[in-house]
Amino acid sequence: MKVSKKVLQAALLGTTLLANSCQLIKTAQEAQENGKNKLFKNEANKGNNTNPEYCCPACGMG
Amino acid sequence: MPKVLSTVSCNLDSNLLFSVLPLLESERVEAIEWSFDALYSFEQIPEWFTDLLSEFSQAGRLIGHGVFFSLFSGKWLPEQSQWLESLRQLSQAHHFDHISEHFGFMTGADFHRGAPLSIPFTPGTLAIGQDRLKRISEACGRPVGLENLAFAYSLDGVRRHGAFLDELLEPINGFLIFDLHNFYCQLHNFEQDVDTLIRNYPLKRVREIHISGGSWEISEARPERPVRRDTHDHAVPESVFELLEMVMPRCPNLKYVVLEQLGPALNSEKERLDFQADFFKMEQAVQNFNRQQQGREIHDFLPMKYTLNAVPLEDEALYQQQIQLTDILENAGDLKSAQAQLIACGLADSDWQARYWAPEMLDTAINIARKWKNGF
Repeated sequence: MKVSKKVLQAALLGTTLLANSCQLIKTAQEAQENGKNKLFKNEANKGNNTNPEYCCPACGMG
Repeated sequence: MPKVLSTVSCNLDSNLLFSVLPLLESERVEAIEWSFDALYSFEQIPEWFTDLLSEFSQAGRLIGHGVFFSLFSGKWLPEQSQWLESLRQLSQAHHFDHISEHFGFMTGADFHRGAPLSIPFTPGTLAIGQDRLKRISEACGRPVGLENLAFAYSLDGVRRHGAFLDELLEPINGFLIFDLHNFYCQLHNFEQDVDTLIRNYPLKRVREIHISGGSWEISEARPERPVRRDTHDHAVPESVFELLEMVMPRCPNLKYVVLEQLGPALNSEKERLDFQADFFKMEQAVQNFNRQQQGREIHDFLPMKYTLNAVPLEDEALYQQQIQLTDILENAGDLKSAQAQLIACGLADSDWQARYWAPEMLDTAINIARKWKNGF
């Protein structure tokens, strides 16, 4: 089925942001678990699509 | 003439989306299946994902696949009311061609996390399942179906699963999702012959087929024969593709064939390419099937009118048994301890007939329950 180019481009950008935010939160969680930076996770929560719950269960990192 | 549509599962998961987007771009994907309840805890879904869903919704090619309703939990729980309300709202926002759920009850602290496990096939559980399916049907106003379960405690459960599904679905004019990897698990784990076991399934109800991969697990109870598990974390085995070619012609009302895989198993470029290769192989099989069909008409499985009781059906004794079983699976020290506890608490000689459970499958149930004890 044909999906409009506009929707596909937005999905690619959104997915990239989602992947980056997941990685950012994973790094933040690891840092927090290691006691390196207790505020980093909260910092990562600012902005669109960076809620860590977007990563859980979707990316399995939660 | 309705043709069978090559479909992918498509959720808000970056790994899965990176695997699916090239297929969408090349216009190969004919429909998408969305696990609409996996993200209920979020305030909103990103607009770009909603737009993607809408493209398929508007074309009548969006199907919804629930995970967390826990059809057979003995007690009606607040989460089930919330689930139905969310489904009602989503069904107004999107046009789902149909809605489906899984068979079983969920282990885990609140029965809405964890993994689905089977239940005794009794008139009581049948009545609960039928009541809940009617509520799903009423909430979405679309055809409703159930997926066959991979896990079984015993050979008796395997043999009776198909007929029980048929009875469950009858009052709602419901359809069956025939998950071929789940079927493959049962064939292997209970050493069944495909032609014999498939006769137990109501293939006239199959509107959707799932294919996916899984994994092998060694149980100390039977180390010489690994248990096949439906973990959705590997490419589709050749045996499942063979089942697909064999089963499609036997399903007169088939409309969707869906490729499923979990996002964490699509982390590398190679895994994503393997997923796409599996899609191409599935697509080829579906196209071959479509070419052989002439003047095909399929059943619509549209919902019927129901009179719903104000209070959902419950079974307190069943609920207590589910709590006992979940506690044993999650906390018993080992297999022998679990078997002893099942006898001590009475489940061994109850409708669950736990005395006759295959030890390697009890061991597997322990592993499943512990894996998902705390949710995802």
